[in-house]
Amino acid sequence: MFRLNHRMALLTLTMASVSAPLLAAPFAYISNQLGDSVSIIDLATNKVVNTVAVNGKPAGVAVSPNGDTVYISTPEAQGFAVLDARKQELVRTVKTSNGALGITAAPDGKRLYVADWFVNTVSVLDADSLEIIKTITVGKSPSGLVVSPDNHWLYVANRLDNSVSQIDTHTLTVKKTIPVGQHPFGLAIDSTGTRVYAVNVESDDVTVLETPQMKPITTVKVGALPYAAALALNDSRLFVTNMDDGTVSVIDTETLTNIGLIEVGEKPEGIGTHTDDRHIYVANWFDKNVSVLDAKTLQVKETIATGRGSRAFGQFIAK
Amino acid sequence: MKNYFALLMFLFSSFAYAHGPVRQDTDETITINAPADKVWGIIKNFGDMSWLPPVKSTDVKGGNEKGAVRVLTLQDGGSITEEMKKYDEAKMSYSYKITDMSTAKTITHAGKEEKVPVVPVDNYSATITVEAQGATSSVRWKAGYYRAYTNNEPPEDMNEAAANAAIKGIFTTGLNNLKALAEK
Repeated sequence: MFRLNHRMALLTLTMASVSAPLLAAPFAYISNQLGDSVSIIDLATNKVVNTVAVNGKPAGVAVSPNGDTVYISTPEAQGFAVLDARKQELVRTVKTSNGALGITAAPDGKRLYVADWFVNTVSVLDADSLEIIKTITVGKSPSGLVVSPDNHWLYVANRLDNSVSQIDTHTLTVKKTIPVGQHPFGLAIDSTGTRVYAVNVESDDVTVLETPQMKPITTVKVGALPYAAALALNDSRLFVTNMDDGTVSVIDTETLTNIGLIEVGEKPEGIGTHTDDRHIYVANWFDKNVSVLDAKTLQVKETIATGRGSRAFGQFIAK
Repeated sequence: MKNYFALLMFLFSSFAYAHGPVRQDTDETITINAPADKVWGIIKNFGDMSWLPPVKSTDVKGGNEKGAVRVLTLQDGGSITEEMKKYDEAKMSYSYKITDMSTAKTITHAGKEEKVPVVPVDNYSATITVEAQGATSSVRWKAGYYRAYTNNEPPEDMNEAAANAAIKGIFTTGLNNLKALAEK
C-alpha cells in the first residue's frame, strides 16, 4: 500500500511538472523599446520562450489579474497593444492619446488605466470593450500607475509636477495630490495598500507614503537616476533600479534604510517580482537583457538575453 | 541681466530629463591592429581628448576617477562639459555623461525659441571600453541619450534622426582616428 501510494505520488508529481508550463507557469513580459518587440520569459525555466513583434516603441506593461491578457503601451503608436497571453500573440491595438506610457490593470480585471506623458491625463478604459470611459486630468507628465489591492485607489506619479495624485476609482476623480521628491517616475504599492513608494529620478531618492491617507513618512536616498521599484519577501524589502549606476538599491521597509546594493547591467529600468515573492527581475536597457536577483541572498542568480532597449515599465509579471 | 536669465533658462532646459520621447542608442565597435594596452594608453586619461578630431582642447578638474569634470572645446568654438561616472582601469573602461553644452544655434519651433545644443541630444551618457584580442584589440563606444527636444513633435534639428546622426558621426570619426593613431 505504501509502495503504491509512493508510486502514485511520483506519477502525480511527474504529471504536474510536465503540464505545469502549459497551465499556469508565470511569465514575464519584457518590452524591448528599440527592438519593437516583447520578450516572453517563462519564469519556471528563465528562458525566453517567444518574442512578439509590437510596433510603436513598446514601453509600459500591465498583465490582467488572471494572467490571460497583456497590455503594452506604445508611445509612438499613441496607445497600447493587447497580447493574448495563452497564444502569445498580438490580438489588438488601441489608440488612446499622444504619449501613452504608464499602464496598469485594475485588480478585478475590469478596467485599464493609461497615463499620457504629453497631455497630462489618465485614460480609464473598460477592459472588455477597450473603450475609454473617462479621461482624468492629473499633474504634468504622469508616469507610474498603481492601484490599491482593494481596488479603491489609483495612484499616479506626476513627473514634472513632483507630486503623486490619488484618484478615487469609484468616482474617477482626483481626491488628493501631494508633493514628493523631484521627478517621481515609478511607483510601488504594498500588498495591504497601506504604503506607496514613489521613485524620484532627479532627487535620487524614494518618497515613502502612508496610504490611503497620503501622508509622507520619510525619504530614503538611493543611487543615481532611480527609475522604478518592486517589493519582495512579504513586502519586507524594496528593490530600486538606479539607471546611472547600473545597480539595484535594497531597502528594509521596516527600518527604511539601505541594506544592500546589487550590481546589475547598464541602465536598469523596469523591475518586477516573481510570483514566488523571492526573485526579482530587472530589465537592463543598455545590455539588452534581464538580471534575475535573489531577494534573500541579494545575489544575481542569472542573466537572460532579451532585446534592444529592454524597458519593462510597470507590472510585467502576472500576480 | 538678460544674458544671465538666458543662461539660467538654458541650464534648466539642458538638465531637464525627459522620459516621454524614446531613449536612443548608438553602439559602435572597431578592431584595431595594436595591443590593448597601447590603445588604452591613448584614451585612458579623461583629461586628454586629443584623439577625437572635433575637439580642439580639453580642460579637466580631477583625475581618472568618479566625479572628475572635463570641458571639451570644439574646433568651431562650441563646448561640452562631461562628468566621469565610473572608471575601471582593470577593465580598460570608463563611463561619463554630458552635464552641459553650448548652443549651436537658436531656432523657432511651435512659436517658441529653441536652443539647439552643439550635440543635439539630451541626458547623454556613454561608456568606452578596450578589449584585448590577442595581439590586437577591439574598442566599443556606446551611448544612450534622448533627442534634444523634450516635448512632443520635435523640429528637424532636434529629432531622433538628428541625435543619432550626430552621435554616430562622432563615434565613427573618433574610432577611426584612434585606430590610425594606435596602428602608427
